[in-house]
Amino acid sequence: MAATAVSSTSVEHSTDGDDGFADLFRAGDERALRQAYERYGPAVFHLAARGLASTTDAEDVTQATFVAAWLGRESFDPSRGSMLGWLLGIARRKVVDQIRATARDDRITDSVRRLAPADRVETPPDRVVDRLVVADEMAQLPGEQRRVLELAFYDDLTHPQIAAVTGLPLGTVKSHLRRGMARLRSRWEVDGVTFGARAAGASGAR
Amino acid sequence: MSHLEPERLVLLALGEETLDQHETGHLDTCGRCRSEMAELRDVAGLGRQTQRLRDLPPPPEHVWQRIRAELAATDRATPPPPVTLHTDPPSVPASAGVRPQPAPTAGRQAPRRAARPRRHGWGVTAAVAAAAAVVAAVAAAGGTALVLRDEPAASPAAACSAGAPRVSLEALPGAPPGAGGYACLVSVGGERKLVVHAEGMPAQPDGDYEAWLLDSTSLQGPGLRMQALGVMGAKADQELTVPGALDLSKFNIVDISAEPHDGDATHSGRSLLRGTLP
Repeated sequence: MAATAVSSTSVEHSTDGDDGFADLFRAGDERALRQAYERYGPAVFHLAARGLASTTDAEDVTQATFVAAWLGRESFDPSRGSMLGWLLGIARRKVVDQIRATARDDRITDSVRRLAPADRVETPPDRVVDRLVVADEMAQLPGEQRRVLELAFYDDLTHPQIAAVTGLPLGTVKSHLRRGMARLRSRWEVDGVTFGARAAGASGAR
Repeated sequence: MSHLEPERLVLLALGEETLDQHETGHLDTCGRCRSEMAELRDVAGLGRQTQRLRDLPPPPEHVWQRIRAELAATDRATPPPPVTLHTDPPSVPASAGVRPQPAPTAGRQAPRRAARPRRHGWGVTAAVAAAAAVVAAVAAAGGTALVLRDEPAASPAAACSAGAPRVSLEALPGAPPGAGGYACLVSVGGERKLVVHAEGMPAQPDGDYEAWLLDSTSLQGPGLRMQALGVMGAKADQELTVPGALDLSKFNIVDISAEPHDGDATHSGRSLLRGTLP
């Protein structure tokens, strides 16, 4: 039975989850573009839709994001953060560009009733980026750990309640909570610092 | 008091337990535990907001179609191939080559401003090709293969025939190391064609190479006249149509330029290769 003993402290950290296909993407394999779109298109579209009033604009930003990402794919550096974080960083800038363009058009066409650009932003895109990145990391947690966090986050259960629901020992539940939180936090910090609001002058495709 | 235990911090951040008096006192004085706590609370807050992000709807399907179409139209879905894929040296004997003129510097100073007689025919062709690529990309939507490059229709292999005198194309300052080539004029079906063979021109991530004919009589004047012949493709030998009305006794300088994808159809001012037709 000794063979089944697994170090529970390993595999604490993995921000990618894109592994192989990120390499294919960077190498210009077109199938990887479709994969990236299927996997991250919903998050990019969500970010765009949250930041922009019009669905058409959100679609345009989604399109522009993937086009820019593909054309600038060589600037994606997996060592600096996840592909999702990178894509959301591009999308975030496209949203801001779109807001500015809308504001500019408004000034031109309707200088009287124009809104200040800031008024048009309904949700700061950065917070949406943070949420999407954390959600993506949640989805990549090992099943049991994810289940424990979901019960804590979504169902607001305490750790004794989680232990009761899942049948896991109390210590295991606490350990899952701590490790899971640590992973979410580190992913959030990596992608947030690299691609989010805290990344002043972030490089990469626009 | 020692720092708060990691598991304790997590439970506190999740809000399922409350700080006791000692912990409150410790947090008041310990910046490290305080910022740990603040970060974990942030993460817990973000985590709670992820529930409805789990099954986000995909963007409408036409967004993907547009991405494919845009990439096909920009013709940059794959990195532009090198202008020349093989490196065999020109097999022309040295005596058959036309001695290259020194690169005219006057013409390089303000070609962008001066370029006027512009690419009517080629521009239209490019637009049609791009439109065709869009149609092709949309038509192929159901399949797995992306149509991202509009390949030109197969044409007879262009080459300088034995009788056509070759002019060698010399690298200008700023050209990639080892860049060079040759060109010659041929007649195909009554049309004048300029065959260009360029080497050592690596793919540009954000631009193309373009062939031009410059009016040598305008080099010293106020306005440089030039004719765009077209973008250099991936083949070793390019056959470019010379407009029928073009006076080759004047437009006799072959110029290969680097053109960024900046939406500006005029000459970039970055000439890489030059040669003068006899």
